[in-house]
Amino acid sequence: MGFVEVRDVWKDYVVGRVRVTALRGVSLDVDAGEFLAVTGPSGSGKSTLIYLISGLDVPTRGLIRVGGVEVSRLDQASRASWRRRNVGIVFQFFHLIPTLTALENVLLTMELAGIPAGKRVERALELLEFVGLRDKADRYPWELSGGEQQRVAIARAIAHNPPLILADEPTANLDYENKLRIVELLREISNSGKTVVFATHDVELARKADRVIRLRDGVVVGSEGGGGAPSKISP
Amino acid sequence: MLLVRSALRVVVWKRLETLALILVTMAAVVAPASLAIIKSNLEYQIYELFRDVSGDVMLTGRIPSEALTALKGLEGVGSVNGMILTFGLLGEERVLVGVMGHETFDSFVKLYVIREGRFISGPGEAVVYRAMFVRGPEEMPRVGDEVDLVVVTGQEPVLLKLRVVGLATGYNHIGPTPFMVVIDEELLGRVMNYTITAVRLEVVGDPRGVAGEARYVIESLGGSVSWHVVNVREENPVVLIVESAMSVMTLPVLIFIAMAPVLSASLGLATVVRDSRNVAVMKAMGCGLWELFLAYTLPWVLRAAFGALLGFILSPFIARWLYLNYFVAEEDLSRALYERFGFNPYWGTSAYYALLVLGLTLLGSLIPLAVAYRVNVVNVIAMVGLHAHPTPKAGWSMSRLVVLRMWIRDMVARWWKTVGLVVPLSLLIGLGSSGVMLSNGVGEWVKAVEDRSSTPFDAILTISTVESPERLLELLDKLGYVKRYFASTPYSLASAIEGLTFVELRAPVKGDPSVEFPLIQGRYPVGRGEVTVSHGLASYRGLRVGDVLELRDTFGRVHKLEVVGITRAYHDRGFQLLLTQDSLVEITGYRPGLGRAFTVKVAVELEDPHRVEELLERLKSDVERAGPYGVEVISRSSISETFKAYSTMVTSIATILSILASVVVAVVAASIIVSDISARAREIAVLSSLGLQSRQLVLGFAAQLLIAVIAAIPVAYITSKIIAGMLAERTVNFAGYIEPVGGLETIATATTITPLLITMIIVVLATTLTVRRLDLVRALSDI
Ligand SMILES: Nc1ncnc2c1ncn2[C@@H]1O[C@H](COP(=O)(O)OP(=O)(O)O)[C@@H](O)[C@H]1O
Ligand SMILES: [Mg+2]
Repeated sequence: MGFVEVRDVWKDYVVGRVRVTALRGVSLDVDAGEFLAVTGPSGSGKSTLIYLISGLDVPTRGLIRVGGVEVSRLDQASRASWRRRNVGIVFQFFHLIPTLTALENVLLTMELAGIPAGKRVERALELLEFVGLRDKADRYPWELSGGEQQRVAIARAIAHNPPLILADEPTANLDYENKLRIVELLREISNSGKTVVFATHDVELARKADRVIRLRDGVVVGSEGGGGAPSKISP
Repeated sequence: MLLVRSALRVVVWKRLETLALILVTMAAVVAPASLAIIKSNLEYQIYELFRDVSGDVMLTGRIPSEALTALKGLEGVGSVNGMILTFGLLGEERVLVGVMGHETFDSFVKLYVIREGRFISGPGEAVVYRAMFVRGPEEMPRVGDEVDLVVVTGQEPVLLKLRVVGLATGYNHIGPTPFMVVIDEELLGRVMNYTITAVRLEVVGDPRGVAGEARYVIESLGGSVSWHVVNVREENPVVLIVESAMSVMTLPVLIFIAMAPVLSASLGLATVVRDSRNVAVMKAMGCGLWELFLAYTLPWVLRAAFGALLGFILSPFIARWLYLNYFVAEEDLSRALYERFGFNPYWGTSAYYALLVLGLTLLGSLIPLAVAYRVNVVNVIAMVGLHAHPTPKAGWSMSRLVVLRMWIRDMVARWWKTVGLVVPLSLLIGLGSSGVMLSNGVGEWVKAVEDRSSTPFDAILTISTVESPERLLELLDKLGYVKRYFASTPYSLASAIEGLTFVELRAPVKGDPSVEFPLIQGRYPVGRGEVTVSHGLASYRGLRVGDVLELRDTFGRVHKLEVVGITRAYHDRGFQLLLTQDSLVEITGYRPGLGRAFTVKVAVELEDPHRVEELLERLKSDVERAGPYGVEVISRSSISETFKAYSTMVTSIATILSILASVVVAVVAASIIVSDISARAREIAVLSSLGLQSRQLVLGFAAQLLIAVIAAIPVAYITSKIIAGMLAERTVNFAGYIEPVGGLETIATATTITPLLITMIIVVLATTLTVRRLDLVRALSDI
């Protein structure tokens, strides 16, 4: 039984009259502190899986449990407040708030999570230090490069200290150098004891994780140890 | 707190949007507030002026002098001023001759009471008063002059030789002439049997009740009351006329108010849709309604608050400036009124409009908030996936039709932009065409007045006399050039019908009513309680033959009259009611001749319609020569001139307002399009890289504007009908009930098209400038 449990999850999208089945009975477990990559071609259901784990959406059928909480059965409001405390999400586009500086973007998450005001700035600066951007803390998003923006987005995602970090194609818009750097950061986050799940269509990059799950047409077609750590095979 | 800081940055950074909204909210506050402030000042001043002359209650008639003491004893009566008023001739000039104390005279005249000399102190002395701003002979007697005054009393005229000891002037026009000669009681009291003809009461409390009691007191002492007025602020007829006149302006100004929420809603929506991914991320991070409000509504609220605050502060000053420079026609009068009353800034009124506009703008910016709140996180973020990234279809630049289709699809997809363009445009078009409809209505009226075959009268004579008019009417019978006439007793009744300041009751004395009031339907009244109404009143109140009309008299009693006919009526505002002498006496208590004054209105049809002016001159002198008659002639052509002038006024007010509105609408439309362009800089850059020229881009936006104009026409048509209807109803006391005339074609007139063109030119210029200044390389490298 992992920190994240996904049991026979199906997900249908209905667009007009057409029903698209994005996931067809996916099951997997992620241990606490594990660094898991989900890979597969475009349209295979990676994003869908990430959204379901984050509680942004619910499965059509099946069960998702995170840290003992059955997320798939909470209502929308409860999922939102659960997410605010337990999950940090990194998206493909960084989506920093353009009218807030790098530091303020990180601070915003803490404000939302209700972290006491006194500790916020210190911690936010530590996080920017961690992603290597302490000297650019006062820059606005458009004054940062894409890679830098994504690093701010990572700092923002972990600012409220959630046990689970989810990242959907966090490297898609970056050059190779920056891609590596982002994955490095995710690895470090996982090393500090957090559970990290990241989706990417880039097989090379996926190998850096502890373990790789391969999806095709909404079905898990393979699971193997990544290059970063010894493999742990799940059923 | 961070989000508040972010909102402040949005306000400072997005200068164009900030400036536009501040300007528009400011205009939205200033336009109605300054008019309302002016209106309140005018109303206050008019009421006070009115009260100077007539006190809270004024009664005229035959009032025994003992009545004054009795009236002083009535509960609620503060002061009692009795006076004798009659007519006389000072040289050629018809004047009011008054006997009154110094105090009474002062309250009559109030300002600049004695300009030169002093008040009378004995028989043989006279003070000559002249109302300011009256066109007439400049020759006035001087202090020290000896003058001859012929006083008309009902018996033989009396000649008085007087020495002028004082000249007075003031802004009150007292009675029917601008001149008044004040003489000593000795001279007139004897002739008039010491009977007072008018008494002015100041009242604490309910003036209506006091009026009734005063009448009772006078009648029980053997006197009689021929006319009285009760001065209640809310019912002051002149105040109501001002209100009516002002509403010509205040109503269209409401479209300024509508602009502010439209702008904030439209630009706010553009922002939310542009930032939908940010919204999604914020929601994924756990932001709720409050946080979204701070991020997406607060900036608009801040801007609107700033604009409203400016409007609040500026309105009283702008109102004062407009008042001093434009609202009081004569410079002297505005200065005099200003000196006497000052100008009340009515901050409360200003605050009311500021809060109203702010509230509406807040409502407007709740629409984008609702949209933001409903953003579906998964959908929006899923769209970001590489496979879902929108790519412009190749080939669209090949065919014009495809381009057009693209622009139209864009308008459907970005419906907030379309709505933001269509609403102000339709208001703009509606405003113009409602003005056209109204002036068309006046045009019809003018045509009807000019058409002698529908109403045959050539002139209406108002004749005041101190004897019974029989001799006068015999004279009219004898005049060969008078074909027919209709003589009637007029009585103006204030606030008798809901919504109307005055109706004029007419009871036939002699002659043929069809000269002035040709029947359209039904018959003339023959019995007590029967009435014919003018077609204007009939359409205003929806009356038909057989209906019951309720009239309220000045004592608050209600009289029910049966409508037996509907007539044309083009004199004055057209609200004339024809009823029998019995009914007139019953409703008004007015018996002609009481207080020794008769007034008859005589509508005259001349034998030769081609020599109207010459014959009217002759008629006037024939009547004046026959006896001590005061004659005022209003010819058919002067009635139509009045209405033509009104039509011109309506059109020019509509034009001025439309042009002002066109600038406001241009600001709204331009900022919507410009913010759309900057939000889509990247998309436009991609299109440009595919070969789209900036000229085509501008053309595309212009086409969208044109489509918006076309889409606005049906809404505009409905709006114009509503605005015109409301204007007709609210100007009823000022111009009579003028039914708006016209349909869709009113949109194709210059009054409507000019402001529209102004708007389109401004918007296209703004679009061109923005497109030119777009930094494509930067937009692309942003990706
Ligand atoms: N919001 C949605 N509405 C409809 N279909 C969707 C939606 N999101 C994803 N899909 C479909 O579900 C399938 C899986 O999509 P996704 O999870 O985004 O795959 P991946 O992230 O691996 O590219 C695809 O066929 C996609 O078109
Ligand atoms: Mg994806």
